Amino acid sequence: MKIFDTLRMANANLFRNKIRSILTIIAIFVGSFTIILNSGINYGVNQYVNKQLDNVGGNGYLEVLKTSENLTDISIGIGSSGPTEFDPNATPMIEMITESDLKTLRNIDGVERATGLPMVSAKYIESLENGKRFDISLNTFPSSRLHIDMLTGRTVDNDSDMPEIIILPDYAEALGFTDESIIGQTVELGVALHQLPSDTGPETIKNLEVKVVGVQNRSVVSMGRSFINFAAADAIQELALSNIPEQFRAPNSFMFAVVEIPEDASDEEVERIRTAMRDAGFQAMTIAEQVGMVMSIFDAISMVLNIFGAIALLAASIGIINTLFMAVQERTREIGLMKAMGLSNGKIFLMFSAEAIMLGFWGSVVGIAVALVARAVGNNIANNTFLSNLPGFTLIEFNPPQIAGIVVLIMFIAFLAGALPARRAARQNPIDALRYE
Amino acid sequence: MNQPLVLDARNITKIYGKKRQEKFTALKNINLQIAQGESVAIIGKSGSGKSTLMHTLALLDKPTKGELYLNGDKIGKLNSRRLNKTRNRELGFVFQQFFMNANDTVLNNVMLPLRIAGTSIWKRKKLTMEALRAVDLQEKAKNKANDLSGGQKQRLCIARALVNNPSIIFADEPTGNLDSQTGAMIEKILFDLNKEKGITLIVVTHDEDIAKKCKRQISLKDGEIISDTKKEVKLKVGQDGKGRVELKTSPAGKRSKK
Repeated sequence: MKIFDTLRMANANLFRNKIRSILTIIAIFVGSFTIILNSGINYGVNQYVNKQLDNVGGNGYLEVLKTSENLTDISIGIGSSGPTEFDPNATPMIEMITESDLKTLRNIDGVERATGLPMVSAKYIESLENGKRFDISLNTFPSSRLHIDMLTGRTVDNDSDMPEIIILPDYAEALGFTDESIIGQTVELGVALHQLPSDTGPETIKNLEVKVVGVQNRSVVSMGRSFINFAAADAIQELALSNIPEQFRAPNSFMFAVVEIPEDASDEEVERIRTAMRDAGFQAMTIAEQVGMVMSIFDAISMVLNIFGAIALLAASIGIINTLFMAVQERTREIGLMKAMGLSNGKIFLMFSAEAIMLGFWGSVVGIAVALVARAVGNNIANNTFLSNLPGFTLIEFNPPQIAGIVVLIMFIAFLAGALPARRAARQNPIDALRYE
Repeated sequence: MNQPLVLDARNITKIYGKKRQEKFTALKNINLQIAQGESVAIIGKSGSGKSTLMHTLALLDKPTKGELYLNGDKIGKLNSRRLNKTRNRELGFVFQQFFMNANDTVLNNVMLPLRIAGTSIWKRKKLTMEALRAVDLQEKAKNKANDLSGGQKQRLCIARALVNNPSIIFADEPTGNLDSQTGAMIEKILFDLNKEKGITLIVVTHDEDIAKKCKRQISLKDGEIISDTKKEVKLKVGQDGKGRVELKTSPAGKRSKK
């Protein structure tokens, strides 16, 4: 018998007892749908995160905090037994990073560059075109190694002496430009001047000119913040302190430092540098790790869903075994006849195995079909609700090779489940099978 | 008239059971030569060994002892693949029960042996239609097998046995499930095929009427041949080394006593 005929007969046999086969297919579908949809979400999220992390190189730079020893206690928080008693001698949990700390960091082997990350803010952004002012949240661009998902233009240049900014979409239009025409334009940031305690008058705000060099997409990396370069951050700090006489100014210190390490550093190398920093009292994290923390939670949920899918498939496999055993029993005499007519044991085995594989195949096909519907509906809902601020984020995305892999896997599981009944069919003695009542 | 032998069984013994006390000898030293184109009835009560003999001759069962030749080929030498192929090409089966796929079409049911043989689709259809025409079922080709009457079902089975153009058709109680009128029609088809196409017909039955219509009757009792209407046939070995018989046709319709 030709393979094509075997498959066709297997498929036809499958639908001889429609209800039984359909129920088994539904059981397989539950498992396949769960796994396919789950892998779709996993793929969608990973696609997006990878796009966000694109070119960051994962290991290119670290954000560094200076910590005191009891930070770990507090950060665990949930597990601690009640409030910690006040200790006047205790050091603050998070310490500011000073110039000498930066020097310490620079001396660690493998560190290419260590810079304090100025924390700056502006009261508003003002258009020179239409004079309108808007609230704005600023962030110093930590490292040129951070790749931002750009809509137009380029990212800010930390090596430039010119103050630069990249803004979020919507701002361009609000400021009287388009996403394209705003590139190269100068806008003003409103900087509130620090006051001496003796000053009682209203807050003074002075404008600072910065050049718009790009418009970025909303993304998990930007978190709704506009990035400025070091030159702009320095200018803002300078302006903010302009009213404060030199002798009252505190020495420069930072909440965060940015440490650049070789972009091709291996994970072991990163770990070594991190350990060296920890020994010196710093905690460091790469951007990939920051995202990884979120991702690990996501991965755990994904894993649980996959386990559900696997359990559903296991139950379905037992359904396949059951279905095929019944089919073998029903068709005992037919098997006998076909054997009498010269069909080999191998072909009989193949025919029943093919039937099991077909069950798996149809179960997966239905799973894919329903998952496609779920994707359309799910993405629509997600984009209109919790993902509306993240353009380019498709929650559920299917990777054809991955889906094909899942289908093949399910068909293989079905084959394994069908092997036992198929073997029994193949081993029938034609005479006994023909006599079977 | 010299006809080559299609089946040549020499000293066939079949013992069931392995342990001494469970041993049961179903066939004892059977010697049987059947020439091409013969119509043979194997008769006997149940338990006489007639079914076992048929299964052995039809290559469904292996004899414990003895040798079997089909068209001059020694069967014992064949591996299971060759054995399957031989059964598929040379033998056709008609059973008391129809053993068909009731939900499939008549055409597909009849086509089954060709499917098993792996015949090309075009040739398959042509041969199937020819077989259906031979049993006058060509009009029903597209019908569901289940919608046929009893006689039509058995005609379907005959067409199925015929479709691969076998040299022997084994019919196990072919009319057992039919009323006498349809039974007679089925008999006529079988014997016409035997006469017109020269297909050797071996009928296993306890029905005396159908047995009488065969040119040769072999009676079995307790695993032994107790009578054979063609016992006077002499076995000759031809120049090609194959066994041949001289047919001295015994008068048909007479059943040997005992």
